[in-house]
Amino acid sequence: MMPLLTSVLEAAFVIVLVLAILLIAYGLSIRATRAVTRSFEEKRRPFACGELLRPSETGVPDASMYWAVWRKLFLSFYNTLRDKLHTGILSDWLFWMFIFMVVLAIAFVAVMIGWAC
Amino acid sequence: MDSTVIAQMAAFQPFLAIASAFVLPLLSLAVKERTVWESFALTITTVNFVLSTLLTYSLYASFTQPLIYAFGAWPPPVGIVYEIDRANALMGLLITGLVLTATVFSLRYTMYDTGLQYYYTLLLGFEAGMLGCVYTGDAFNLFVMLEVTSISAYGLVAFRRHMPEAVEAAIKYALVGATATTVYFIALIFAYGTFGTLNMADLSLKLRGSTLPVTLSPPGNVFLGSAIFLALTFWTFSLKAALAPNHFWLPDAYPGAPSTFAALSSGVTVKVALFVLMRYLFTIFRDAPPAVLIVQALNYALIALGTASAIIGSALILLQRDIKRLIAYGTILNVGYIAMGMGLGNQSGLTAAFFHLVNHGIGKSLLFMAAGAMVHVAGTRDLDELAGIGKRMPLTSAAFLIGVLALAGAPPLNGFMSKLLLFMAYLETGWLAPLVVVIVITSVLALMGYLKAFYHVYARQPVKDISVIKEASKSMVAPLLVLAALCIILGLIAPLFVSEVISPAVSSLFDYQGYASAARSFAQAIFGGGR
Repeated sequence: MMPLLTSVLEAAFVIVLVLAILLIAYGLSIRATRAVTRSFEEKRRPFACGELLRPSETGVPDASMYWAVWRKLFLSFYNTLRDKLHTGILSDWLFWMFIFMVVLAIAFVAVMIGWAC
Repeated sequence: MDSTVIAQMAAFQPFLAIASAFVLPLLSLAVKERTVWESFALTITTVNFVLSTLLTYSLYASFTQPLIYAFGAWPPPVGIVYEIDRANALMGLLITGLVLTATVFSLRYTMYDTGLQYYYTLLLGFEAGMLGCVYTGDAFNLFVMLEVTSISAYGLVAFRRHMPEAVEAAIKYALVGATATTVYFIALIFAYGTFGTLNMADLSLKLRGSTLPVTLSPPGNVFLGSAIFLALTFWTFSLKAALAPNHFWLPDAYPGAPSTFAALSSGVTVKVALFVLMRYLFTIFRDAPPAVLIVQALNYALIALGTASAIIGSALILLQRDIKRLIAYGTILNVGYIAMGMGLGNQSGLTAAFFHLVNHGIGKSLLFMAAGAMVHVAGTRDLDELAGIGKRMPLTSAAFLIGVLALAGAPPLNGFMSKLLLFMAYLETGWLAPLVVVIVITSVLALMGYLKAFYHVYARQPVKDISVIKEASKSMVAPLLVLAALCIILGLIAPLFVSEVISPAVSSLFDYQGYASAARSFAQAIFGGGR
């Protein structure tokens, strides 16, 4: 097990090194892009009906769009998980906890029958 | 150092914490200075951490057998004893270490709160309860210490009682927690009726046709009694550990509570519950002829419920907008991994589970405290409103990122190493090997969820003016950096740490003969007799 872990450790270092290099390259490219686009900053300002908007107010954040797709994809799963299980209502929780206890009891009766046989 | 002194060192820790918890409110009547209360709590938690470090070092360096401390010099099974081996010494170190970091973090984190003497009282009571739970060798004393922990925890959840959600969460948590401890109490009635003892070493001996001095053979049906006791105990501690479907309380309890409580509860209390299950399943009942089938059934239950927890936690982590709630669902996910490792019931599974238990304890405390620092300065838990504040808090953000990557399982951090061990343990099993797919998929989902949190707090454009926000104070950042450093170090030295620290702890968990014979030798020295 240990040689494998050592190999994984070595691989991990390589991954971290590559990521660090990529990160530095990305940082440098952003700086370069900023230097090029600075002069056009005025043109990129968003306006709505003559009002100046902050970039964060101009649309849905990219992350939110991504999660919306995810939620849509697994809608029925999330509906069950959130609206039936995780309601935040104590009596609903206790119902599921009680069900768990009943399942445990049935399992132990089965084990005891198996033992008796 | 003499074994008696080492054992006294263990017994002194919960005593010191609980005695200080009683002294602090009295002290606050005489001295109204909050720095005095803070210094008092800091001193006690530091002393406990030092004692715990010495205890763990001594047990690893000098002792192979568990050490016994008999309260009032009443030997087992007549009196209550603490029985300390490498496993619970390591748990004690984790508890005292995390409580110390939380206390340091609290110094500035609670600067806007009132009634701080009660906050530290509850914190010290919480530490005493958790230490008692892991050190005790008595099933009823475990119940008492569980209550000490729980009552302190309910108080800490409701500490900010001006927030309606904190009060609601505390009421729900208290009702669910009280149900759990009552169920454990009923389990103890069955155990006592069956075995005529509640001493853990005596229980393990009686299951194998032997006894400690003074007590007699079990008066009840051992198979039936073991089955009922283990079923009820399993239910209780699966609730305390937030294992699905007994996990509902956890995401509701943390958002309204102080982040220090969330860090400690998620980092330690949940782990203490899992440790108690390990003690019962793998030290006391494992391989005992009447309980083989029952333990086997519970191992399968652990695998099934662990898998369910991992799926539920990873699915819901993606939906959260409340940063503390998001991290809380990560706890449910990781508890699932630990349960899956425990369910294998062998050395490699339990080694992976124990290592992940330690890693998750450190990583989750780090995440909750880092999130707490951000919430403290921004005044909101909403990820949208926290947008961009990470850039104003570079050190906190760096620590948060390390915590995120560690818990998501990025190499070479500690979380990756323990997940790798779990992965390998499942590959060795044969027919359960397909469950590695669950580990991989849920890890990817967790990475997406955690990175979403980091993306929001660091990379997104701010939605409000954050120019006044500054880095958290030094006493808040220092514990974060220490925990972040631990995540990196434990990852880098993982092979050494596993072979020198985790494996011996797991071996002592499996060593029921050593556990029982330590208590028997202690009792025979006074009473003589026994079989």
